[in-house]
Amino acid sequence: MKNQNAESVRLGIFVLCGLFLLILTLYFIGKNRGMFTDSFELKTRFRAVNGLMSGNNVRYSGIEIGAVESVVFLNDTSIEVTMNIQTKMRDIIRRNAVASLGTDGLIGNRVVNLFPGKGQAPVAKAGDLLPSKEEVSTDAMLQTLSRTNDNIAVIAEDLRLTVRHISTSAQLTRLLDDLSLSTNLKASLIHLHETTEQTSTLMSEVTRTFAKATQSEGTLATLFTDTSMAGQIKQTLYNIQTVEENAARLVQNLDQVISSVDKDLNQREGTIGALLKDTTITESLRHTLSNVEESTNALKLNMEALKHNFLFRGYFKRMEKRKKQ
Amino acid sequence: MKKSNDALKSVISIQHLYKSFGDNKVLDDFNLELYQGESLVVLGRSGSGKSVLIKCIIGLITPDQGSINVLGQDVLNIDKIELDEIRTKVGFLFQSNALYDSMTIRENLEFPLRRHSIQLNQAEVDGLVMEALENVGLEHTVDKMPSELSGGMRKRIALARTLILKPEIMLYDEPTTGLDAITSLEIIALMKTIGERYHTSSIIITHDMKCVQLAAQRVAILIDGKCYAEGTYEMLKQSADEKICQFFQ
Amino acid sequence: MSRFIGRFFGEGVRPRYEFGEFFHQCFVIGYKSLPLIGLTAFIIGLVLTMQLHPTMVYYGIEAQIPAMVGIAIIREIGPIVTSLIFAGKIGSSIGAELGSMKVTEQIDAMEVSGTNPFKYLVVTRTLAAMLTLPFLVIIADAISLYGSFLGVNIYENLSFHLFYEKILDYLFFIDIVPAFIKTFFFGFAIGIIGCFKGYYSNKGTEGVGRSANSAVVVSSVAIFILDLIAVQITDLL
Repeated sequence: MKNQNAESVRLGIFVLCGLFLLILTLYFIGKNRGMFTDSFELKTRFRAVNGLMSGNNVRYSGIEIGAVESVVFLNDTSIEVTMNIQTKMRDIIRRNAVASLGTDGLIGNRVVNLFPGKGQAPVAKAGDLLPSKEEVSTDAMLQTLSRTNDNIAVIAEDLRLTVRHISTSAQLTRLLDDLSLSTNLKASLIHLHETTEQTSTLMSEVTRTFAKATQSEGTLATLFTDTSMAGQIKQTLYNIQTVEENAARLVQNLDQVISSVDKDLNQREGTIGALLKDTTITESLRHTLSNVEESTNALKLNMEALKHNFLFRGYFKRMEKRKKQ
Repeated sequence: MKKSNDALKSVISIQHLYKSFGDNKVLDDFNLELYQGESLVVLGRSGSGKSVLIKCIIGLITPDQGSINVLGQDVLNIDKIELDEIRTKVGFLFQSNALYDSMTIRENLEFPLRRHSIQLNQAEVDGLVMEALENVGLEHTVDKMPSELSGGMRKRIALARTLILKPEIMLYDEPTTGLDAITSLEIIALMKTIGERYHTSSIIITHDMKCVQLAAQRVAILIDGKCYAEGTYEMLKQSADEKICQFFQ
Repeated sequence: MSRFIGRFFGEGVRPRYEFGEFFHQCFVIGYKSLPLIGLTAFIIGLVLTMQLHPTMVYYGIEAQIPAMVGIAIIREIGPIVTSLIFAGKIGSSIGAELGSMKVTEQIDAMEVSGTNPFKYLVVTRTLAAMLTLPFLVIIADAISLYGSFLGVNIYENLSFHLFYEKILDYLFFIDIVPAFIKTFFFGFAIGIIGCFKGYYSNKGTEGVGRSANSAVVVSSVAIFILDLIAVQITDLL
């Protein structure tokens, strides 16, 4: 009988252990999904949720504060996401907090990120609809990139024309020679020309790669849809765009100067005369040119950065190979 | 033992029993009577259906046709509860002892007591267990496992387990198979003593002539599914029938 | 076989219930399997983590190891490995035990002793296997994850808290509940197949060996087939 009692006790412990572990796990999952904490509902709307589902976490400035309760279609273009937010966050979240979609880690679960909005707003109440910010999608990025590409092409063409104009204008050359600016300017302009052309080809390559990547599925596509990676790409592209804007501005300046020089050369009066006399304008031109050079260098640096970005690494390697051949 | 007189009371009555497995007719119009207090040996060759016969009696095998009457009850047409009741009154000693390997001797002996919904307290159960073990002279093995015992001891324990319910009828399925001659004699002696002490009637299935000679008051010979011959050992021994003579050679 | 299962349910619901034997079988089948299953679960968790680590480092996502191992173990590896080992241990022992009981007429003896051997042997064992396996799987999962935790800590320092937070982050009810439910079916299959093979064992010692062997083989295959069905059903949810 003693034996049997010992048996029962051990069996009981065994079953209780199992039950305890089961309940513990279920409880923790539930807790993780905010099932056992007091919560209130907040809503937000997105055009697309990219795989967000109920149970995904909600973060406020990066801290977990709740879980997604439901994801439902309102109509063909908007999806309402209802979130359960811990009651203790009630005083912190304001009505202008902005919701956006994000990813937990490189290939992790979808999360809803809430960030405090700008300015003052009343505290959010249960059922409030928070404004949302669409996630930067690869498509949008590609569109921007494509536009940038077009711009660069136009600028490069302009630059090329201007440079030819300048190089064929003997007087100006002489004039510039006199001012010991010619070599400098010429070199810079040629440099700029080359760089922009390179950028142009690079951009078309980038566009192609992106298009391919978004069409194809798999790891690369996953990488692209990942926000952290996307941010990196976006940053790179943004850099390119800034440089290119700089270049455009400079070229515009240059264009103006050159056209006036042109006019002067043709009319043999006006600005050139003034230019030759007026040292301040000379100074300004010199300044402009050095700006051009600077920005060219910056563009070069960017190119270098791009080369090291793994997405474009393959392309550059191929370029080098071709060069060697 | 009370030798049969004219007013014999039949405890088991088997009539027109048929049983076949596929094409093999094991029992073919078999008839047998067991009278109170007697010990009957059913003799037959291996595979002649002796075991099938006694398993039919206890309801382990359902015959194809015929009737079996045990202690006034038709075992083929009674419900489970009534069948259980019959089984408490009919002890069955299995050929292979059928001791439960996973239980101690005590648990083995307690098993039928607890199972047959008999209300007994622990002291009564212990008493019955010890009495049964005493009958077979193996009190010291009470907390051992069946695997620790020799073949003869196991047979005796199995006998004790069967006897613990004090059955009115004992069915022995080849009680001496697998035992040496001396142990066989011991077991047969034990069977006789028990029969006398508790006034049980018994059917002994065997092909061991020694056993037949010692234990039988009456012998029935089972050949071709029929009760071929019936009589005392001496009677049959002197029979001129060729088939019967084969057993006595 | 289907008649056997039908009889299981038929006899299982009707009194009298063999509680004593049932609890005893739970102890024998469930509790006594714990050391073996715990050991294998621990090793599986550890090895899985160590095997995954280089690849995960290669992709720079070693931080996801807990989540990956957690999902893998809880959803699939835990139930299937535990069940297979359980089938090996319990399926064979039930098959052999009932087989030898059949051969040595113990089943008949039970019948004669006023016990329904089907209830006493088959129903109790099958139920015990069915009800204890899920608990074994849960405990095995836990031990397995602990093994995985140690595996992670071979390479880097990770607090236990962060480890299970990481796992829980990726765990949903849909991961746990179907995995838990399917183990009942695994346990049932192991128990009923072991009993069936033993109960209808051929005469002789060879028959006992064969029924033990085929109990393991058939129940292992049955586990995989049930798993296949389970994953289809889970997929629909």
